[in-house]
Amino acid sequence: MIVGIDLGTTNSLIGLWHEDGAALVPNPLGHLLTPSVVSLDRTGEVIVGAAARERLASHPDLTAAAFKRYMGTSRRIPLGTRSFLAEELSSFVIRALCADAAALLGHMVEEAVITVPAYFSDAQRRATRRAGELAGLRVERVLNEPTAAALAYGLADRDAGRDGPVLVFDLGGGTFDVSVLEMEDGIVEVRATAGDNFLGGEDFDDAVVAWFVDAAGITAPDPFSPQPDGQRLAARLRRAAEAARRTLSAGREARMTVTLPSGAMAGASLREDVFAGLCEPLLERLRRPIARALADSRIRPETLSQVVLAGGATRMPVVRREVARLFGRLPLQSIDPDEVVARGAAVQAGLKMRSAALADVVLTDVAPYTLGIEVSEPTPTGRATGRMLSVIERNSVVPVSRTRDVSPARDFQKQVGVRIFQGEARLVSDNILLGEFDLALSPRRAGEQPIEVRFTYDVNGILEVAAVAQATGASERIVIRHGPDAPTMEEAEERLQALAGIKTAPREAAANRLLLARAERMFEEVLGMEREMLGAAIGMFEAALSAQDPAGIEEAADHLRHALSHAKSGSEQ
Amino acid sequence: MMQAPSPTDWTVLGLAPTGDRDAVRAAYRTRLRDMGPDKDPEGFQTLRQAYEAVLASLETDGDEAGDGAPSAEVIAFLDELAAHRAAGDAAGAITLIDATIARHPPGSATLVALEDAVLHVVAFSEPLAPGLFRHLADRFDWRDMGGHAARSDPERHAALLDRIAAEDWFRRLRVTGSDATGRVEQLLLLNGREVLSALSDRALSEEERQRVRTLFDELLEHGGYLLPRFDGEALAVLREAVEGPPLLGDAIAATATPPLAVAPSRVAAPARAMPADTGMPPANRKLTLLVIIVAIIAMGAIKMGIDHFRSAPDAATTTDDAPAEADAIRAIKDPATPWLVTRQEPDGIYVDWSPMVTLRNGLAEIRIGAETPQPTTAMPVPTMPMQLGFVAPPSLTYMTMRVQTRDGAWSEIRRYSLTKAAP
Repeated sequence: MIVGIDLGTTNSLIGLWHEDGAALVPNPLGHLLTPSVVSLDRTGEVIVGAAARERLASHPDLTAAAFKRYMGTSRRIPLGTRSFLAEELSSFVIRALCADAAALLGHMVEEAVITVPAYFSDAQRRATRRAGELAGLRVERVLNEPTAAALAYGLADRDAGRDGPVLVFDLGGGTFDVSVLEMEDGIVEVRATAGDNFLGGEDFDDAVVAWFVDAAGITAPDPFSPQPDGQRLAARLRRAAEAARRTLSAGREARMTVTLPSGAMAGASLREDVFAGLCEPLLERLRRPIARALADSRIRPETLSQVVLAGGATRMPVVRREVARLFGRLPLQSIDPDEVVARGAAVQAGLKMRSAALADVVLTDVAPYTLGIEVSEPTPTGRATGRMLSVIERNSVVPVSRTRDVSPARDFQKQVGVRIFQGEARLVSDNILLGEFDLALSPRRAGEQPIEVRFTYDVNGILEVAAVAQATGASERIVIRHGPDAPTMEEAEERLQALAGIKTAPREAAANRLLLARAERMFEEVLGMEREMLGAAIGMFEAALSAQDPAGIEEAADHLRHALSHAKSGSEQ
Repeated sequence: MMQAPSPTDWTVLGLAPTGDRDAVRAAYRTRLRDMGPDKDPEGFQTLRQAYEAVLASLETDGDEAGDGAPSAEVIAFLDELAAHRAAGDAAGAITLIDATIARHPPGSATLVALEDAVLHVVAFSEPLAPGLFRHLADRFDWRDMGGHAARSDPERHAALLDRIAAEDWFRRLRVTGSDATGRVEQLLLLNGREVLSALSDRALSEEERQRVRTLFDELLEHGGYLLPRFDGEALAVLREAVEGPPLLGDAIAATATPPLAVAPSRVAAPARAMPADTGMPPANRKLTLLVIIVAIIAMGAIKMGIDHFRSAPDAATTTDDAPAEADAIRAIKDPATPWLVTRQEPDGIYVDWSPMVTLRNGLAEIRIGAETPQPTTAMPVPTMPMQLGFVAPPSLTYMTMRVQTRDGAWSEIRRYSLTKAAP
């Protein structure tokens, strides 16, 4: 069984393919969305999901969220005394999702399709693949999120007999992707893809937080400060911002109140029009990737048959209004935007399993970035160095293999350096270095020293580069699977061992953990009588949990729920 | 880059050659079911290559270059933009651009036509405010190496990237120049008098001299668009402070046989450290400017490429209609062929070396003289199509020129008056 996983910045989902279609798997709390948040509890056990999310405010130093933004970097995210790479934290989320699927299926899950933002770079894709491997999976395919969304829609459309070019507008928690596709009779052709790796729902929260800090006249907390007070306040502000954003989806004004570390309350009311103003600079950034994707696909916006929304952030009315304004039409949202990517991932899993129901479905995808090498070029005043020579142009259909002929800059060079880059800028210094190697030459005049450079790029985004000196046949090659900051084999093995030693909280305890986490978060925010009552109820609940008496636990849980709802109504007045 | 489809391409598609795009698409789709990227990666690449080759051969030329004649909206936009620019109202121009773009879906035909029009009419106009230019580059995504502009007109786009690089460089220069650490950058942005007085307060350190050389190199690299923004005297003073006395043509003794082609800056190496003020009369300073521009170009021309690669010949020279060596030599020797042309421009007489650029394949060396009958200053031979020329300062009344052709022969000395433009 191959599963489809949508590993999101804010939420993650897992889906399965049955012969009758894609189905999503609920977590132990009965939700299809599992927050991509990881926390360590007192005993060092890993908590994933809603309970971990509650702990962002109560135990900020032990909890991490939105780590997808650091995927593929060497940044270590501290949790208590330990620290983790983004891919390692992601592997905990994947493990939790697979445990849910295993509970449903009755057997272990071993293979998966994992989605990534289309605009994810080579290093980010490799890190995502490693996250799956660290969770004990064989990653069958790394699939672009908007392509997955299109697959989900494409299937629905095949069944409904609709065809034509489609634009997928995918604004997730942390990333923005645009893909233009052509769909016909079950054949899904991605024509072009573009995006912004640093634009998503989280940025709208940041904007609201910044506004609130200013409007309420409080000092901005430093989320990276070692002081838990600052982290706690930062988490509370984010929570309040998220809530306000949600309120504004329906209402005209949202009241935000936040408990400061001093115990005082800070408050401000966010009006719809003020919020719209805050969003404007972010909405502005949606335009360029759309223009690029359409221009590259050579499809005019007027001829699009549909504009499809994916990603949780497209629930925001400001975003939907902007999409409608940009395209002069209402976008389609017949599949839940939070679920559409995971559903598409499940379809891809079905394709991988050669499901009979998908026998006539074919998917072709594209390379999101231009790939090339550094060269120097003659100019009117000499030579310009550090220029990018593209070998595989962005939005080439994959798998693809292309060659370019180059020659050494000077006569009688003994070797040339082949430096491989990804990106759209003319200067390689503005692009991303993927790898490099030297090719030894038998010295000749530059004009008599042709060198062929070949790039081969596969469906998973793995790049192989080879250079051949035509005169002698001498050649060198490199497979870019691991970036410059990727761990060595030994390091990877060591990390795997270390992670294997970390226990994950049992699934059955999820509801109780969530209740406890919620109570602990609320305990931090209330004062006086309410705090005392809540503290007592938490103590009773913990005692019941450790006594492991089901009846006692149920009773204590009821009591705690009651105290919690009382405290909640108190804090919101 | 795309080759014409071969008979095999049609076989791969399972199709007899046709001009019907829909038939080609349908054939591709049919084959795709058996040769999809997951089922048969190798076969898929062959199929895709064949499909792209066939599609490219069916592509109509008008596909990328906008949709026909500019619409009324585009013309109205250009007029309004011109009005804002004439009034010096960059902010108004920016508002107009943003409002116009916001009215249309990204990637729409109107915006593509608008971009093409701006690209052809506005992007290369000389007196374009830097802020406005950067805004256009930003809104139309011109930094993108593989976007619409690059596809529809690669050469123009390459020139555009040069201008963007120049504007970026100038902006960085100004930012650094406003910083306490950027003394040299600041000096470069002053006028000649101010530079003189700054240097008499404190001479340049060795490190600062090096910085001047680097910045001159960079200025040269970004040349054309930026030179008018600098004060010629300031450049002259700075250059003297670094490299010694100016390269006046008459500073070098005229010899019967022309000197070896050595970089002019080396020929004029100072015998002693030069004081900041050379005591030169102001008229001569202006004259120096001309020589400096030439010298700067020369310094750059001998700069070695330090990188490993150069691009393939086909990538470097696309269209080049320069005559071949023998024809060029014949033309150069023909007294009826001018070596330079002059024309009256608002700022003065423009000296245009475009004949030298066109005939470059026949040239071995060029010598020029400013206000001197003996042309002894070496000027680099152009290596590729380029804009080469300058506005003559009023103090410059004539120039002399002598060239060596590739057959080794030295020409007569020609004299060009600069008091009024020759037709």
